[in-house]
Amino acid sequence: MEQNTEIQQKTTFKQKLSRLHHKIFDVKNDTMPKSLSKGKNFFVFCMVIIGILHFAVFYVGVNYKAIVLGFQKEVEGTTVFTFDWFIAFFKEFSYEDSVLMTCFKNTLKYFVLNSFFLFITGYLISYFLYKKILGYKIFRVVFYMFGIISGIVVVALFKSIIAVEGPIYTIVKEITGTELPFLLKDDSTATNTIMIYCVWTGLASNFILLTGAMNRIPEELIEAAKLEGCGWFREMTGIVTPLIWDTVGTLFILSFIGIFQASGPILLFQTPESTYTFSYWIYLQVTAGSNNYPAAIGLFVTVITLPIVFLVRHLLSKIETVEF
Amino acid sequence: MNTAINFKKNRKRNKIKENKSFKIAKIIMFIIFVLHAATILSAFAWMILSTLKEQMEFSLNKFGLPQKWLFSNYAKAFETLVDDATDTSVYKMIFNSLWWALGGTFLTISCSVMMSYAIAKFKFRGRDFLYGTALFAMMLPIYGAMPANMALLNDLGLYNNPLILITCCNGLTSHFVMLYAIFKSVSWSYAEAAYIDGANHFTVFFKVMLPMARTPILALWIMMIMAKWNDYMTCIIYFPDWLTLSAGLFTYQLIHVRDANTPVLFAGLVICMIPPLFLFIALQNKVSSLTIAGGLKG
Repeated sequence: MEQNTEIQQKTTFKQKLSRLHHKIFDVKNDTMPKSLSKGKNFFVFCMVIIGILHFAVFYVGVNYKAIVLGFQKEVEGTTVFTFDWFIAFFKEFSYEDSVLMTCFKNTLKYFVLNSFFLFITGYLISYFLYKKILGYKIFRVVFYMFGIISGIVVVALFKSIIAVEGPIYTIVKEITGTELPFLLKDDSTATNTIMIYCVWTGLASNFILLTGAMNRIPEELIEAAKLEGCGWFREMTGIVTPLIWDTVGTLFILSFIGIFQASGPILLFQTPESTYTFSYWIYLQVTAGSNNYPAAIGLFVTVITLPIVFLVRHLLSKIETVEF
Repeated sequence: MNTAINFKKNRKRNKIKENKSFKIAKIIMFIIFVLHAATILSAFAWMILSTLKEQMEFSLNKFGLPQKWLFSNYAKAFETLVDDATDTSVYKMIFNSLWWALGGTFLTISCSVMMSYAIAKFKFRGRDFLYGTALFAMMLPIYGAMPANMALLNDLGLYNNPLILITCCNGLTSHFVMLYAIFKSVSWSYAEAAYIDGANHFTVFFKVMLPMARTPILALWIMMIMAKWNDYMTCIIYFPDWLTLSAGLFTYQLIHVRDANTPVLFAGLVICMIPPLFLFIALQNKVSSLTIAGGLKG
């Protein structure tokens, strides 16, 4: 009798474990005929092998190579492992007027612009599009144009608009009588001009994802809030935001992951050294044939970013997500 | 009783107040929307009008309508926007763009679809590890991969080689996470019915599961084709002798800073923006379905 109860308990535990496993991994395919079990392994192998090989070569291999390159140096024809590149980086970074310091300052400027200012404007625009503001269908297409059209086209257009004798130059001259400087070649105005370009093209950033998430909110929830006298601002901050927090949080974390990649289209603008960012500087180094120094800096920046990303992720995870 | 009446009155007053404030906010936002949209549309309209002018007319009359509508500038763009260094014509650039955009998209999406389907629907050893790896790769910020990538492509003989397309066989991208969510949400009972009818795994995948997930997959296709068509950086860095249209227009602008015929250059830029614009306008409902059917959970 006792033995039976033990077996029963064991079965129940096994069943529970299996149910838990099914719940976690959502396994629904165990119902397939047994004759297909052998074929299943071959099928799964065919499905994943290319992806795994690619990952091994172009992710693991590349990152391994990046680590090796960061420590490698050619000395009198032989390759040695050294910290020289990191030492050179710290030395260069300590000078106030070094290119790397300029890159660092500019990168942070773009990061703040993209991750805070443009994130907020994008969110506001998404909310009003979700609220079906007059002409919202047309605005959706117009605002998405920068996502469809190549940066080459938009930058060329922007350059022509702000060029000397261009539309902006002519309008300002006719209204105020003053002549604008060559905005993209002047050190004092170049970065700000590119940032204005970023605002122009990124004002409605992420709106496709955000409106998509907002559209999934059940209408009854919003109606109930309205009946309780909830205003639009409270609705946006207190109801919509928590309901789409997964999307907002993911976008926010992604922006922190790319903190040191934040940049404007410097390559397309061909602006002076005072506008350089980390990512553009690395591009210049690589195209000039230098691999080790940028790899070392890339490694250092990765190490700096990791704790920042995990901290942001930890802080964001503390905010409770509302299920619906 | 009085309290209840007061409460109702207050609620009504608050509602009227809120409606008023929402109306004001809507008007302010509408003005901002109109202004922003106007700057975008007028800029593009100015560019398109400029493509129809002569260079001299463009210099003297920047804002007016063209005296003669020179549609021939578009034909000229095909003749003049040649990259002399690599001897690449616009036709070749368009072919390279199609090769990169269609080929690259096909490989990336196919690999991601296969990987995500297997992981979402089958139980096998290493499944959770692969899923975790994809998430980890997304979360880990990697800087300075460009030098290593360049060195590796050189070692593999893929640098400046059209076969670089195989680097697109990436199954564990951000698309993987989206497709994983999509396949998770597709019911397995259809597959079960197909198995009972004697179908094998490949038949179930191609004839049952893929058609069921076709709308979000198509949306991913469209988004990726547009991104790859517009991508100039990858081409400039990794296959500079096989210029795509975006990259070719960029190098043309760099070389011909002083002697470029602006209306003809603008015509080239318009040619470059037509395919993605057309694709988006034609299939925009499919694109918006991506965020509703799958994508990031809101």
